[in-house]
Amino acid sequence: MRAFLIRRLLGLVIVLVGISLLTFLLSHVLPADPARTAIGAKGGQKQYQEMREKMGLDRPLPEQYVRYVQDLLHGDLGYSYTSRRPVLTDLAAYFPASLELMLSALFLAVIIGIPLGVMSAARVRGPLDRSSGAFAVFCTAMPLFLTGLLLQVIFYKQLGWLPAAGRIGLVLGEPEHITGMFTVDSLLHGDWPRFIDSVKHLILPAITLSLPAMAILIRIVRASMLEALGQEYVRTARSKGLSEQRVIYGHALRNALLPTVTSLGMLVGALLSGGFLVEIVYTFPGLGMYVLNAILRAEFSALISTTLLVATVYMVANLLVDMAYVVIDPRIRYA
Amino acid sequence: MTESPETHPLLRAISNRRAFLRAAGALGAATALGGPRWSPPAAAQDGSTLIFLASDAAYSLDPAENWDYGGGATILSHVYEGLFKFVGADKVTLEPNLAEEVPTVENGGISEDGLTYTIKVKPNAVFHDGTPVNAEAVRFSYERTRTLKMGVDFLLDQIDTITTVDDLTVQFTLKKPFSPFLFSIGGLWGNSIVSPETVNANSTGDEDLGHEYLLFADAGSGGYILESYDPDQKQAVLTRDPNWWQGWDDGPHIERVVILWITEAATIRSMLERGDAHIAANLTPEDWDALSTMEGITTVEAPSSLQCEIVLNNAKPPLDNPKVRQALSYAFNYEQAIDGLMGGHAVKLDSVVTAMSLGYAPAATQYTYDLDKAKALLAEAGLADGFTFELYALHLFLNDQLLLEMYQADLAKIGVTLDVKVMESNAFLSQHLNGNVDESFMGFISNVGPDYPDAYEMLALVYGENSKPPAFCCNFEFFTSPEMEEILTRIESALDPAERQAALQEGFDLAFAEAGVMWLFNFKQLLGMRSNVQGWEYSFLLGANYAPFERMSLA
Repeated sequence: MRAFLIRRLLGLVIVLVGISLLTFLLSHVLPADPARTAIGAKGGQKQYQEMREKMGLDRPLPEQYVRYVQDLLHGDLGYSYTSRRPVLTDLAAYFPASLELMLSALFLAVIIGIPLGVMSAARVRGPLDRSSGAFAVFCTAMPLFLTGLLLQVIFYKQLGWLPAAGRIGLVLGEPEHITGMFTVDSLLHGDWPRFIDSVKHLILPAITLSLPAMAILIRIVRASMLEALGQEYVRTARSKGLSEQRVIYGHALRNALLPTVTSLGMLVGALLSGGFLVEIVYTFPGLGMYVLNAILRAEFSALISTTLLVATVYMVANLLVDMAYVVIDPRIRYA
Repeated sequence: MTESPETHPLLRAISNRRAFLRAAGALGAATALGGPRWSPPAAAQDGSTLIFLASDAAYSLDPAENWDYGGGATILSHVYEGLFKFVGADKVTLEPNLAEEVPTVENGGISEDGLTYTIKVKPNAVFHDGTPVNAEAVRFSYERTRTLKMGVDFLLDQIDTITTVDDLTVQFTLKKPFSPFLFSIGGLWGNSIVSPETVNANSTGDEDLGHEYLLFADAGSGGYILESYDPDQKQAVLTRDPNWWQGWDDGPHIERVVILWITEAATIRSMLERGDAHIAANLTPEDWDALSTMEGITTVEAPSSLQCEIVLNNAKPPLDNPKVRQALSYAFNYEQAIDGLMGGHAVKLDSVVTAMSLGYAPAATQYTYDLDKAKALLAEAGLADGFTFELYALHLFLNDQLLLEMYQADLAKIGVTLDVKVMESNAFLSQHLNGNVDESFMGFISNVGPDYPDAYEMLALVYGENSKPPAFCCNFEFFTSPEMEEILTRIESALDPAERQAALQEGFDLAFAEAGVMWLFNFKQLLGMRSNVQGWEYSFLLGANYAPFERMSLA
């Protein structure tokens, strides 16, 4: 297991170097000029040249990359001329919000998607199976921004039950930061009003983001369960007189979980990057809003750092998934 | 986090099962019943908190750096004060603010040679920190902006020295006579007076001069105090200063202003409809139309100072021929653009500045949609068979590309082929402004607005030799005219209003006759507000992101 972990971590480093190189090159061939953006349209040519030198843009591209990596290794992710602070500080401010949204959406997708998939497989072509199939198609087909707007119209504008924007109410203000995730922080402080308020702000964005993931889980779990239910060990279990519930949850589901867990690892990346659009729709101040501004203002450091962060989360999630295989299926061993 | 784990209420609750269940039950009940209402509605209903949805983001809250509407017009204009201020929605006028009066040659405030401006500060003005606003504070503020050189200092380029004559008298000496000087220090940008005490107490050195501190804090004397500014959560809060030196009437007043930057147009509209916001600074034309028919909401269409232009590169053939540029000006269908693509939310420009600006007068030559005239001018220029050129849309505003595509169809009718291209604005400007005409582009569609509402500034910025690339904004068209330079010099030195106006008129006429730039229209801003908002007035200079909170209330 240790050798496996070392191999995977080395692989993670190699992939991150590759991603940093790719994003660096891509961002520098884009027809955008961060120095001009930083000084503003009314900045003179002298200021512009000074800013180019300050940003190192006057140096050859390979040298710029080497400098960037050197800084990166020293924990310096660059400086944002929009927020006027280090990119690392920006990421520390915005990443917890995106992580909170992603985890909430994943939680919803799992607690609804997996049971629905199991129940659909248990009664194939029954009313529940057909309904969940239609629901999955609907969730997959609906663009995130449209779902977001629809939910806003229903639950904010018409019913007035839930807020449409932000992470927490203005009067309450942010809880004292521990993790940066408002629900967790307010809970740790025992601050129920803030906890309830931040949960209410999270509900609509989390539902919006979770629906496509839920659809994928429903279909994957259903297919895996159908395959498992057709296996001989299930027939044996049934012939032994075990209850159907025991057969499904005790035998079939455990075997059907492997592909489900694999898809969870993939979903983490999709939810984190898909959440960017949801954040913009709900003015949810996470990485999505940050990346949007970074793109508009050609802030290369912010763009590359965010990409690296998302890639790291994705790869760590998949590493955890691989490790979870050992727990789910004792037959699996990593040399 | 200083609290030990043992003292965490949650951990305490979990360690006591009954307490935990009670808490969880309370939580479930609160959630099911709706819990506390989302705070904006609660705040919106308290009768003294106004929720303002700003459109432009706040780039910087340091007055020495700020040059935007979101931070400047929405926040700084209430937290800080200048010596003067512009008032008026339709036609602006300059009024004293911290200054006792507007100096003139007659009252002795301006020297006969137009080089020295002596300004008296009101004796009772105080900053939020309790220190007096005096001549030294004025000198300190301007010197701070000039020292920091964060961009906005260009508006103070004409100043040679600033000295204090006595505790309440400050004297500006200019490098040369500059008639728009008072207008240039009457605007918001570069003219906020900061408290030396607060700045010095929070400065980390001569290079900082309190800059880092002022990005999030307040050193002003205005009617409102900056309570908080959270760029991460996209919100700011202002609270009324009950001790404001200008005093308050009996009220009621807006005690608290919550400023939100909401990105999604549908959310902005919903918040206004539900009463969760009082004013939305920028509505889409569709939302504005829909809200205009709704009860409880007032919609306003107000002229902005932003002007739409097509920049033609005067240094590149065949656009170096004025007849070609005139032909292109006659080939634009202004009416169709304004009524069609702009949905009627724009006004055709008949001068270099909008009708609301100081010194405005229509130019002698006017361009209307006349393809026959355009054809004839092309023939006179030896281009009867037309020519091909390209214009760029930089997506600086909605529909800019569509406007060029509409223009493309009309130009085809006179044999001119227009290639419409799109490019990211900063990359475009970097190349276009590098000063090398050969590397510059043929032209582009853009918008431009004044820093202060005097016609001189637009004339100098758009047509002046000093504004040509690479030196400065905004002679993007490489307009070259010794005649215009002479006119600009005359305007600068003219202390007599009639003489000045005559020179301005010559400038407008020359600009339109040469057609260096095609002036299309000025935009209208579309706002919405709840009907209980009282006392709102539009500011032409500061636009929709400004509202006079000091004179407003909620019914």
